[in-house]
Parts: sequence; structure tokens; C-alpha cells
Amino acid sequence: MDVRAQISMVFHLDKCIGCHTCSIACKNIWTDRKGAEYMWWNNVETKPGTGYPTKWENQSIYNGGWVKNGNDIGLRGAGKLKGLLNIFHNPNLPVIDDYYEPFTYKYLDLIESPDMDDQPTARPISLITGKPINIKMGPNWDDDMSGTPDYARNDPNMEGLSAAEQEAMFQLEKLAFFYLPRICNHCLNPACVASCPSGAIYKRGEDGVVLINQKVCRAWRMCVTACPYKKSYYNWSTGKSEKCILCYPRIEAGYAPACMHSCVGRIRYLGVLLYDADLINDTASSENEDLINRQLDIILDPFDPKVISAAKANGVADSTITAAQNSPVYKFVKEWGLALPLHPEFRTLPMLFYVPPLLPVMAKLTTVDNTDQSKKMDDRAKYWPDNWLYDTSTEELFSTIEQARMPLKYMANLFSAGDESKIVNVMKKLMAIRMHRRRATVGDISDEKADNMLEQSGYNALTADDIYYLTSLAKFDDRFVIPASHREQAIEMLEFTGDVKGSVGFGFIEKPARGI
Amino acid sequence: MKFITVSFTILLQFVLLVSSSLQAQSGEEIFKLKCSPCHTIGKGKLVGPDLSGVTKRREEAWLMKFIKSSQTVVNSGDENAKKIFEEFNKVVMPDPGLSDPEIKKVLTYIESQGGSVVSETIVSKIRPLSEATPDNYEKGKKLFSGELRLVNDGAPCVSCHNIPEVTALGGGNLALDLTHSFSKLSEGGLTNIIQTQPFPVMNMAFVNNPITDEEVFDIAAYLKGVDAANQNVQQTNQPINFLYSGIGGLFLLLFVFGGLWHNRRKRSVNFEIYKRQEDYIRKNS
Repeated sequence: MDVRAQISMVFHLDKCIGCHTCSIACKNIWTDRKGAEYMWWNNVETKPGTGYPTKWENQSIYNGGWVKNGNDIGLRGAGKLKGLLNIFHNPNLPVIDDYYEPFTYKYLDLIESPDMDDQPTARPISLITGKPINIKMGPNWDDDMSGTPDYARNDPNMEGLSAAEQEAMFQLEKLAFFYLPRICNHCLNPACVASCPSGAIYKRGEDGVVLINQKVCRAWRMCVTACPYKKSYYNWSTGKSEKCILCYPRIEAGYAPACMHSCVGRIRYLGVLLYDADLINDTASSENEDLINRQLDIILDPFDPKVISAAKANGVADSTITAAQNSPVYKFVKEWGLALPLHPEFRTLPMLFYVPPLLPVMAKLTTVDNTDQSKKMDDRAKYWPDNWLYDTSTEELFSTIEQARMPLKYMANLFSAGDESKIVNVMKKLMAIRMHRRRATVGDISDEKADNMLEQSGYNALTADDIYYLTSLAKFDDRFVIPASHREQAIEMLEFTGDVKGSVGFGFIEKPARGI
Repeated sequence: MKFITVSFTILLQFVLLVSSSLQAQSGEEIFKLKCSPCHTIGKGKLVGPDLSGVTKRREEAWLMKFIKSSQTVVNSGDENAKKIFEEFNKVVMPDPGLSDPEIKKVLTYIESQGGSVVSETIVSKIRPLSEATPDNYEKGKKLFSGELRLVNDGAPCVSCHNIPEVTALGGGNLALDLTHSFSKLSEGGLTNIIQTQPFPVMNMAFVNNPITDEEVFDIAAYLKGVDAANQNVQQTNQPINFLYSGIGGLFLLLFVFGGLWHNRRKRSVNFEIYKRQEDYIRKNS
């Protein structure tokens, strides 16, 4: 058993309001630079939708992630031979038009234009060429399903849904969507690290943050292709690739990452997980249907004395083990079984988990005869010739889950490699918690029914209250359990610090020398 | 532009240098430099005929024309010229690049030498090729292909000449294919040409790196052997074949790559969307 610590995240999608505050916080801190304007280390997508870059989930276009070869796995689009074949022209590399051409406006024209007949306008100009452009795309162009025929209907997750089911998703008054905020998953089996010919990308030993060494990066851009989540970006100005750093300077100082700190809906949780690194290869190579279970199995119980002693033997600090025991991520993922990884079928073992949305509110449509009701209406009133009822009653316990407006198959394609039972399981649990709280706040649910639901979900009233607390009431320190960084110990494991004692200070800031 | 100017200047200086060096020469010097590799005066046939008494056999005007550019005269249908051309294995006499006064000097020199025509063909000046052993042949082959360095660091024959068997891709195409050089030039002519390099480009190539007599013998022995081995082989027109195979290969490669990469992504995922937007803007502006 090779116990290591991983800082990982849970995003509670029921709570996300799609405000993009996280994206802006991240952009302001990290990517507001020349060559990085188009990058969004954190972005929020509307689902169904094609996302950013467009259709990133479709690996037949971008060739990212791992594929199973017999009992082992190999990179889909990178590696020695595949890399050599594409060394001069890599058609799977996203081009700027797959993201969008970043732009700003010539605001100075508004105040510096000479006197003329018309009012001056601020023309859009490209941040790449500096010339006026027609804006064709933005990082969230399909926000709230705008432009549905182009975007939502082309969502790669529609695979496996019948034409009728797909059509039903876009029917007026049945149409529904939810938001999917994305950052780097800081995977346990990162394809970007495996693909880098220069060895510039590494996974930090003490907390599992995946980073690109800007001094070593040689602009091969294999990581851009290999990352199935398209979360590695190429900076055309510095000639280096960049990615989300999980705000490690903030984490080392005990602060939550900027996107999480600024989250308006408080949907984000961050904490330590202990995992068994010996199992990574086996887990990533397992059969498609076992992938998700085995990924959850790799995460160890931080209260288990065996795990604790193995962790200590491996150099994991006591404070990190304590943080793992208090980790909200461990609770959501393992204890309560509410959170699932995004696209486990890419086999990178992502360490960012999502609580799938129960929203839009579960309801079923029942056919009723509305003629009597309509007769009562004033003649001048607008008449709706509907013969159905939007039924939110809770007579049958979980029946509404099967008829969710967001098809289960769609959710399964996103969060469980196509396994619908996993989604149903989580939905039932979320539903049970909701009914448990409805009993307390609205009071229209009988104790018997609420307890029955909890029991069927494998919870009791105490656990349900814990989940409710962490979901709705949690304070800053409950949501972010950040261990002390122990950076100095991590460095000491790699080199003897006595060698440089008294000879170095804070070092020098070196900008990447290469550029266009 | 600068490059063109510089190279033009260098070229001009070169031309001036060559022409000025010739101007000061006597008829004898010119004959030694330009004519003696192929011709003798009263010593017998070499590559071309013995020239003793040639001024008496031919008219001066005809000689002037022929020396200036022998092929022009041959191609004009002149019977005498044709006969000589046929007689000497259709070996083209290179235009020596001499002015009228210089040719006259040479003719005066030939006339002054007198003597009588010897009809026998001169054999090798070094030693007869019949003495050559297989070792000479092998060494000659290596010298030809450049596998063995010439003692004075001259360029190997293969840089400009071709013999199909020497290299997989064939030798140079700058000068003639030498497969049948022996039967064309005969023993004396061949060794003499290798030794004195009468042709302007070949001369420039070896002027500072002369070929030693022993090397001449080895190379000639090799060329003789090659000629004997390839008696029945038709000389192929290599440059043209090379061009055709190049064009054919291009289409073959295009075909193969087209098949291999027909699934490659050729445009942005958003191409359709962008195109529609652009069309809309164009239509409405």
C-alpha cells in the first residue's frame, strides 16, 4: 500500500447558479496576460451544450485521454510513435477557432474621437491581431442554451439517447438545463503528464496538484491534445503551455483557491483524500463498467489505523491525515456516496467530483381534463388549451426520478460512464434528503414516508442532517479543509537543503525567455 | 538584390581572369592546353585524328569554322565533317572557346611542326591497360565512387559522371555516362583525357588537385572492365527517367497520404457556425 495525499474537490451542481464569478476570479488572477486571454482555467458550461472548447468531450475530434489495450492502457493520441507521426502537424490539436478569438473593445474611441455627426462606438478588436473583428464566439457562447440548434443539440453526451428522447429535451416547456463548472481535475492518472515529451508536467508529491514547469516546457503541445478535459492551454506569447494550478500559492498559505473562495452559490468543497497509488494502473485499466467503482475504491478510509500507519510511513504529515479525516470531499464521495467524477471513461481518474443536479425540480406530467377549469376563466383571459398537469406531488416515493426531465442516460454519460443505476442511486439519496427536510420545514410529508425514503437510501436522520448541514449551512472552514502545506518537507525529500544553506535567498524571478 | 550583384561581380572577374590568361599565350601553349589531350602532331591518332599537315589537307576557312564549333559544322550537313565525326566514334569535340587570332596562332604552330600523319592509334602513355590486374579494377572502382580518396584530394568521378552499377541512385548527371567510354575513346584517348582533363569544367575541378598516373591507370582499368561487362546494355536516358519517376512518385505519395489521412481534421469544429455567421453578415451589409 502506497498511501498518498490528494487535494480534491466536490462541486455541488444543484447549487450552481451559473454566474461565472469563479471564472472571472480565476481570469483576474491568472490569465489576464498576453497570450493567455483565450484561456479559461475555470469555466462554466451549460449542459446540454457543446462547452469550451467546442465539443471537448468528443474524443474522436481531439483524441484525448486513455484507451484500454488489453489489460493495460495507452494514450489515445500521444505517445512516442503517435507523437512522432504528428510532430509537424497535429490535426487533433484544438485551433484558436475551436476556443474563440479573444477580443476587447476600443474604449478610448468613446472619449478621444473628434467631433462628428455620429456618436462614436467602441469597436471590437482582436486580442491576438489587434485589428477590428466580427465577434463570432465567446468562452460561454452557448450559455443558458442560447443558439440551441448549434450548441445544445450537438452535445456529445447525447450519445445513446434515441432521437425521440433527444427531441423531448428541447420541447418548449420541457426544456431544461444545468450548469457544469469545470477546472483541471488534477487527475490521479493524468494523460497530460504521460504525454509530455519534455517531462515538463508533474504531479506534486505532497498534494497531487498537477503543474507545468515553465522552464522545461518546450511547446510540444502534446498535453493540449492529450488532456481529455482540454484543460491545458498553449500560451502563444510565451511559447509555453499553461494550466490550472489549483491556486497552489493560496493553498500553501491556507486560503481556498480563488474560484472556490469567490463562489456565490458556495457549491465548491475542497479537502484531502488519501489514496493507494499502487492501484492506479490497475484501476485505470479496469473494464468500463467497473471504472467508477474501482476509482472510488482507490480512495482510502482516513480513520483506518492501517491506512494511517502506512500514510505516516510514506511521509504524509499528521496534519494532512487530520485534514483527510475532516475532509468534506471524503464525506461527499465515500461516506455519503453523493459525488461522482466527470467522464470516468477517459480513464484519467479525475479527482474533481460532482454531485449531480436533482434540479430541475422533479415533476411528472399527468394528463388531466382542464375544460371545467377553463370554463371558470373570464372570457378576456388568455386561454391555455392544455390538458396536462405539472405534478410535483410526492405520492409515489421515487417515481419522478425515472421521469426526470434531464434524461438519466444523459447524466450517466456525463458522470458514470453510461451506468444509469449509479445516477439513480445518487438521485434517490438527494431526493430522500430533500423529503427529510420537507418534513421539517413544510410538514406535508409524513414521518413514516420520509423515514422510509431515508432507509431506502441507506441513511438515517442523523446522517441526513449532516448532509443537509454541509450542503446548505456549511461555513467557510467546513467547506475548505486545507492542510498545512509542508512544502519544505516535500523539497527535503527531493534534495538536501543543507547543500544550499546560506547561499541562496528567495531566488530570481525568471520570465520564460522564449516567445513569438 | 545584393546577392545577385555580388555573384555577378564574381562571375565577371572570373571571366576576365580566364580570357586574360589566354590572351598572352603562344600557339604552342594553346595547343598543349586545348588540343593535345585528343590530338597529336605526327605521333598518331588519339581521341581525334593526327593533325600534322592538316592545314594542307583542309581549307583555312573550313578549319576556322570547325575548330570554333565542330558540331555546328557537322549538323550543317558538311560531308567531310560528318565523315570525321563518324570515324572517331561520334565523340563530340568540345568548343575550345578560342578567338579567331588564337585559332590562327594554333594553326601556324601546327604548320610549323610539319611531320607526316601516323595512322596508328596511340596506346596509353602510362603503360598498356592489358597489364591491368583485378586489383587495379577494384581500386579504380573505389576511386570512381569516392570510396577511396584521390591522393591529391580531387573530387571523385561519381560527382559528375554516372555508371549505373556504382551507386544505388546513380552518379552525377552533370557530365556524360561513362559506361561505354572505353569503346568510344579508345585506350589512349581515355587515359589521356583522365590525365589532362581537356574539358573546361573537368579541368577546373582538377587544376589544383591533379590525378596521379597510378590513379589514372586504375580508373582507366575500371572503365575498360565496365565497358566489357556492359557490352549488351543499352545506355538509358537517366535524367528523363528520373523526372518521370519523380512525377509518378509524387502522385503515388499524394494517393497514399490521401488514403492514410482522409479522416484528418481539416478545419475548426466551429467552421459551419462561423461560415453561417459570415454569410449572414455579408448578405445583410
